[in-house]
Amino acid sequence: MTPETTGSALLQAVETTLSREIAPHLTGETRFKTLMAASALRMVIREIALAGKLKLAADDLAHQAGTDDLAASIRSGVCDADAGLHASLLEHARLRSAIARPAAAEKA
Amino acid sequence: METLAQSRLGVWLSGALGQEVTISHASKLSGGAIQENWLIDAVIDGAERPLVVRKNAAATLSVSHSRADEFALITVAHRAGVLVPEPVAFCDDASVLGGPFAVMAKVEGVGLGPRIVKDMALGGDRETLTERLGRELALIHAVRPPRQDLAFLGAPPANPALAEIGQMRAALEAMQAHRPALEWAMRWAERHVPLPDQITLCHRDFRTGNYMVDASGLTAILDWEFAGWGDPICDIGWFCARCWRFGRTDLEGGGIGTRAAFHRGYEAAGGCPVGTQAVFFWEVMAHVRWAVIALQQGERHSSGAEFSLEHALTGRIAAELEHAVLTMTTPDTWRLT
Repeated sequence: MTPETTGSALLQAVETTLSREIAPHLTGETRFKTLMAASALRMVIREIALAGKLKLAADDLAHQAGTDDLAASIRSGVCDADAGLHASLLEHARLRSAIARPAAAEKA
Repeated sequence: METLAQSRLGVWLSGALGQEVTISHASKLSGGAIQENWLIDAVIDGAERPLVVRKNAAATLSVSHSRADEFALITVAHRAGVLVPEPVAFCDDASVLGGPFAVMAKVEGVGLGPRIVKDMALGGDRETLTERLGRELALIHAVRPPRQDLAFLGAPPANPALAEIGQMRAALEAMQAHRPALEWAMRWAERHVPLPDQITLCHRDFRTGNYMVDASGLTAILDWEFAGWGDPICDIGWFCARCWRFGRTDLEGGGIGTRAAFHRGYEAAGGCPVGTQAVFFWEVMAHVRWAVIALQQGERHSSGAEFSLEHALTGRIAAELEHAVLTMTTPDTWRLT
């Protein structure tokens, strides 16, 4: 441990300040926007924590795709029902979903 | 609303309705960049009547047409027996309130999807509500092309499913959005296109969150701006899609009831028999369409067109929709012939 607070921990501190210290004193639209800002920070914190896994999933997807324009390949039909590609797409989407909204990723 | 505008509205309504109308009070219900809603306390021939005025915030020609179209759709739906706010009058004379506006009866109720799903004090018996919504949808689908009063909807698509896939692909291209997961789902959809038994009026946003309920049940079907000709099953898929159940994924009928109750109400009111495969196709496309809409909203922020944290966060919903749609279209579900 170092006496300095890391970037991620600072973000967490800002999130806590917004959601626990500021929002309870607010009402209406300013409360809504403050909670929304806190929610966005939680997403950033998760994105930083999962960055390594996301990079691996993106690399795997790029490897499976074997092309710069995967969207066009899929549209053309050459990837129809490709199990390897589907597994890579699914893992990549699972991680991004877990970053955006962890509750949704757990339920799915 | 200024006193002068209020009195102009009263005079115009008196002429439009052929009755004496005075406006005692007007208050803004909601306002945004696109649209304003005003609650109007009107007295019509001595009787108090609460009304709602829907007006464009900025009077531009392209948007003003959509307000008139929305009024026409609600009028058609009202005549077809659908539970909508009663359409009262439409004004395209900009000298009254500065732009075209629609006047409708005020409807009481709660519309917020997450609240309706959680608050069991709302909506009355849930199976009855779900069945009732099926019935309302069947009444909408009883409106068939061609209709002179809905000419603005254009010609019905020859194949609504392929048309939808084409529109979604075009929308992604317009944003220069590379979304392989959505492309996967649309390619699956392209290989599983259902042929509709008929083309009907479709609401195209018929879901929990777009109707209102009070303590006893349904009070109105809202949000008609996406309506158009299409495959009626697309509305059933949209209503039942997992992404519109607001957390109650166990309740396949819009997060409020069973799928069976919804189908029962639909078929009893004259809706076509609901085929499972076609509904599943439209549930896949519901996730794709909601993801595309979410990305479009997100793009409004990310492109710099409009600063909005809410839009930015809406764009991030696309990830969970992509994950959901990939789980629905696993390789073993592909029909490869």
